[in-house]
Amino acid sequence: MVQRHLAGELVAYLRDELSAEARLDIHRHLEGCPECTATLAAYRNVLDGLAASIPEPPALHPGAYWAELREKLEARRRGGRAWWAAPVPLSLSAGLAAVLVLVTLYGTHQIREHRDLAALEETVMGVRLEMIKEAPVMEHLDLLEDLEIIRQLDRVAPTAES
Amino acid sequence: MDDAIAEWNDEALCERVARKDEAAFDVLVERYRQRAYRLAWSFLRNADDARDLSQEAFLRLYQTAGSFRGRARFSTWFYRIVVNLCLDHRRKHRWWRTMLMWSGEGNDPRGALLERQPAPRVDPVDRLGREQIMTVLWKAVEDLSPQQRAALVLQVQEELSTSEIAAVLGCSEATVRVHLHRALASLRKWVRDD
Repeated sequence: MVQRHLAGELVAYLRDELSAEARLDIHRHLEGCPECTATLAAYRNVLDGLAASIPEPPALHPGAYWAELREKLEARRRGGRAWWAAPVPLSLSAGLAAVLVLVTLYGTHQIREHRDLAALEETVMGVRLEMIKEAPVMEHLDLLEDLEIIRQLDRVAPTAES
Repeated sequence: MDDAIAEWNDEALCERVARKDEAAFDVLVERYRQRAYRLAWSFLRNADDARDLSQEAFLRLYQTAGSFRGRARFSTWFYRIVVNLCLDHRRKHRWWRTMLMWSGEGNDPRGALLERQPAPRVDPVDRLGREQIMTVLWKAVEDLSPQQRAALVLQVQEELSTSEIAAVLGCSEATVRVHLHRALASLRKWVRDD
């Protein structure tokens, strides 16, 4: 049977966070498992090494830190927002509003013109369609299916109907 | 600053900050300024960013002190603010670090010290002195996942218990142990097995 090696339990063992009974179980396992024993020793070395050499950050100037913090706190109290949420100056707002109005008016005018043109085109097309309906040729369109007739169009005599 | 208020415990001060007591806020800032900065720096490794981020943590404290219910220690609650800001910061700047890696500038975070070192299986301990090993070890910590790094820094540097680390990271104690186990397994190759 393959023995399961310890993982998170080793960390708890190292940090002395186990009950007495659990600790005893781990101890018994370690006595019979060289690999886990080596792992435990390695973890202890890593933790000891890290603790003995914690890097220190660059020194912080207390006065400057406080001054900055106060400034930021004041801004936050005044309702300071992120730059993208900052209120736009009045003149810029007015300018933007004017541009929006102009664009809207121009756009509306364009749409109205287009609508007028469309109505005109429809009227013209309707008139043409009426004219086409009345054209005698419309009654004889079926003749165009006959290729022979098409070839001799210039010799086809008008009928009594036309 | 009122001398009496300087003797209050963190939890009582936080309660006063919730009522916008400036003096209480000042005491908490003075008590945690260096710790917040050091914790942020251990994540970001940039002094300016660490300073800004620690200040942001205090601003959050000022704004949200009312949400501290006293169920955990103040230090745990405050560290959670700092760590979350650090993790968010790293997440936001991940694309930039990726760009650096592509450009070849960020490929070897361990720096010149390891440029000519053999692969770990050749036992780097034989080639480096103890101090250098420790430096390499902390450099290697920077390569851990954010959660593993957070768990390790909070344990080694801030000496928090597993339950406190779990509260800071918002996970279970078992998950914290898994993070630590994986972190230590990654770092193991840099120390000699005695």
